[in-house]
Amino acid sequence: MTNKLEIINRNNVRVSGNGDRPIVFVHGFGCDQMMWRYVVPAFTQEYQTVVFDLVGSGKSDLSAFDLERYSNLNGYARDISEVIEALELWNVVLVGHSVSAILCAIAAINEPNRFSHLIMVAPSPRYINDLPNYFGGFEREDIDEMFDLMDRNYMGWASFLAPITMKNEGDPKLAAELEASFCSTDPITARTFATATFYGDNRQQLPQVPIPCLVMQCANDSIAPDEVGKYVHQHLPQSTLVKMNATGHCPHLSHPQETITVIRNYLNDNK
Amino acid sequence: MIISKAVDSILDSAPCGFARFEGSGKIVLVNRTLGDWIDRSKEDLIGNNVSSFLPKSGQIFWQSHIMPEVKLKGELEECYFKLSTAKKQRIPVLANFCCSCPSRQEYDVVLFRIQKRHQLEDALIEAKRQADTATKALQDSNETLTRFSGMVAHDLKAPIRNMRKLAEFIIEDYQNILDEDGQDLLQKLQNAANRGTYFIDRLLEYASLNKNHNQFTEVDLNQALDEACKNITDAIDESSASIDVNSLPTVWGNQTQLEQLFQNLLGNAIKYRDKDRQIAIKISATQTKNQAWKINVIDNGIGVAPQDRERIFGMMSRLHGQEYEGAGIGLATCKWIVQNHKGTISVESNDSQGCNFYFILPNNS
Repeated sequence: MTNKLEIINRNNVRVSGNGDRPIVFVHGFGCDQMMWRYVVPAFTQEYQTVVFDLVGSGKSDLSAFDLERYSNLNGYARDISEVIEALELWNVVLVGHSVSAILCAIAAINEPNRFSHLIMVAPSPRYINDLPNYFGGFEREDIDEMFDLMDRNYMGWASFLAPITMKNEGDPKLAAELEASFCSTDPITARTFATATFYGDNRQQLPQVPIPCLVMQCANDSIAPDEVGKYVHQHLPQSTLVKMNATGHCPHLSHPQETITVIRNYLNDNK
Repeated sequence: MIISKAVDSILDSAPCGFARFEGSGKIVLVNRTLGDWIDRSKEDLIGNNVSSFLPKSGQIFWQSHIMPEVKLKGELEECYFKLSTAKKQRIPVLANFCCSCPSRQEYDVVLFRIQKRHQLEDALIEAKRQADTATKALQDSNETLTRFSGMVAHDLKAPIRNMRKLAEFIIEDYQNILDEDGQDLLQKLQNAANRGTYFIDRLLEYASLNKNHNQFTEVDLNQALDEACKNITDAIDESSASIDVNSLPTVWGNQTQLEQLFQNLLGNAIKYRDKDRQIAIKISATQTKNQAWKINVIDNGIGVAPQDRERIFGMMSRLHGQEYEGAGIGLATCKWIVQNHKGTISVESNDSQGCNFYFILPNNS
């Protein structure tokens, strides 16, 4: 059993806020807890806010990355459960962006008593189309091409770059430069997370989510299009769907004020 | 967006793509070069979202990597993605982003087409993949070979030892009933078995080199030399060799291997001694210009002819026949050890006056 402090360090957990009730924000694929920086301050008065990095992302402990565990979304969902257990939180509001909305759903299914509400920002249970029954927005080739894109930007070059970075281990400037180049710097963890995310299918989990959910659907979201938001809303037992004016896939980054308002209104209306 | 005509004209004809967009991705300014690349007019582009001109794969990357990076850090350099033309063709580009106006949350991007570089990268990645596969195959086959030679040597050792023992028993117990020829044949059998054992021991030694070969520590060469001398005390005493050592340095290396290295070099110096001279071995260290250590093992033995100086380090290569016992493995082992330390080994000799086997170890401190 990993001890609490280890989990808190492993996931680079940051707790703030003056409220009693905990609200936990989980970042999606591609970046880290920084994604929530415009939203979290709005909740610190009323809530105890928690942000962290999933293992393999941000400033999490890369040595904790276990290829087997993190090869499917359950491994990442366990990160959420373990952080919440380590902090001994109860009656938690969970906020998950994109794939993490699904991670939060899995965590809630596994331990229904811990959580009160689940807020899903631009969720998608499956990215690849399964026509005619399901429209996810992507064909398998699109996802394959995205991997090529990631490879070209950093993963494919990892084997070339590794010796250089090793040689310059002692040079903090270089390490910092590499770190700054992309949110996810480690090619193996990034690829593993991307595989689990974009080739995964978690549609069957939706009807099992035991708590009230808010589905936040952005306009013109190419990653989680309207059809997907509607599907999620229809398959969750207790769901509220809010269509936002925010465009794109990251409203917490591009339209933080609207994101804050929608979350706050929902929580006030559903105490 | 108000922009002077002159700037507009410069931008339009610039040999790179340019766009300015808002935090939401909405394009507010674009140059004609970029429009031309993707078969669209500037008017088609302005007001639309950057995402609209990326393939699906690029849209995910845009949302999950590029936008967060540009927004949170204010810049992003050397980012690779593809644009999608009106006819759905892909154009690989390299882009640099910056935040041009933090208060209005506006961002600029400059793009360069990289079709040729893209092909080159493909070739490079493929070449690396092939090289990795070949290296892996080579390592596997090397490992198999080492295992194989180790196994063979190990399995041969026991029967040859038995042969030697049996010959010994026969000599002890039946010496009286054997005539001179018989005794001579038995003696030859015993000698052959001895050579076999010696050969197999060297082979096993060589095969075991790969084990833990990368366990490096600081090694005091004086101490390594001492250990080596202890291992061959008998040979040293028997030959009444004088060994003269100047102070040796401490180097970064594998203790066991460096002991083995000294042992083999000393063993050789003793084995190939000039029977007419009192054997004297001198061991010293000098530092080269680039701070590497040159360790000299100088003897006054029979020397090595110039034409043989390369060859002697080869596996199973021997210069001498029955007159000197040897397996042709000792110097190959030395070479392997020195190379494992990223060093070199050579021999200098003025033939009949003896030779200097020296190895150079790089300074890793």
